[in-house]
Amino acid sequence: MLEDFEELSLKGNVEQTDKLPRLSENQQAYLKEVDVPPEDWLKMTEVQKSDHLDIVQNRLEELNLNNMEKVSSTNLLSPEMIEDLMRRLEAPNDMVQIEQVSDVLANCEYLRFENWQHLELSEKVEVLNDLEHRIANIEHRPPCPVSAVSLRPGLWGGYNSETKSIEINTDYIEKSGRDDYFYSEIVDTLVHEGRHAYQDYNVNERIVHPRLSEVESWSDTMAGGKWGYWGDCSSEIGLRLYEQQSVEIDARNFAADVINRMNDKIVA
Amino acid sequence: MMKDRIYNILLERGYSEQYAKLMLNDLLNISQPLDNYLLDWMNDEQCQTDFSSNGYSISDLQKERGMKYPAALLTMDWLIKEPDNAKRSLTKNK
Repeated sequence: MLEDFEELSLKGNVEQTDKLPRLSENQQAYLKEVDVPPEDWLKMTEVQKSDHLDIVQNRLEELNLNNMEKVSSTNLLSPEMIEDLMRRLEAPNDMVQIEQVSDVLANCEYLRFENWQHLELSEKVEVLNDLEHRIANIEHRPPCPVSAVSLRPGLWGGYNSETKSIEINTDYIEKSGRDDYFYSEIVDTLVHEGRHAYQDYNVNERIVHPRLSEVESWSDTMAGGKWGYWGDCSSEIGLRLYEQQSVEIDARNFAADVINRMNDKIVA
Repeated sequence: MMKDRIYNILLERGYSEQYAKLMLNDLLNISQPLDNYLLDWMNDEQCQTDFSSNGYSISDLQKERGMKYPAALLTMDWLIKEPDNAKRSLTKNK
């Protein structure tokens, strides 16, 4: 198909307006050719979408069009398709993710303790699900359903790599409406388990994390990896070795940085 | 010699090679009196001496957190060596 169009590359062939590159008519037609109307896109299966996005991604690479904001502004591809496409592309680096996730948390009115304490359990879970959707979007991974479950004391929550879901201790969600410590830890748990979802997505589905060496180190401590531990293996090896897993250190640090930034923003 | 013995016993008692290797160094350097309790357990799996420190006991770790005896020993060792970190982890397990 490429041979039907001349000089498709944007390099040396882009009229630079204020901010956005202008595509030639041929380039526009070349891109428009792979657009799928929203109503059809929503009817496609995940496999069909994935196969089609491979084609779209290749075409964008041919056009050296790697800024999704610019792609979006051309209105040549449907927004639904662009949203799915963005998830496949490289996620922002950790510092940017920390800023963006802490923004989402700091700007969530329902998450303010004075509002949070008045929410019913089901409403709290609804807010946690909404936040998880936003966080997943920033991290370029699919969102996980978040549910409140009965867990043993001391266990705040977990990410289930089989069901791709996040579970949080019901008892602690309930206490988070009355106690500032539990409230802060619930938010930390959501971010911590979401990071495990991000690690799992990078190791087992698609690498979107900008640092491959970190993904490799996460892989070492997951099922099938060098050390083969994943999930709550503290009952086998003790709590200290469990906490030393690369996936746990990373999730702990990421969540701590997000919570610190969130608190800075709320105070400011 | 001791290293091989611990490793082989862990394998005999259901541990994977990966976990046995991972735990070996920590078990070799375990604090007193836990070192003696480990030896007792190695000689007889049923011998699981209890011990308490910093508000936690080996039997509680086994009962409440489903830990195997060597896992409970290592967690108790952490409570002895780094009580603040260990206690924080025990109350914030994620």
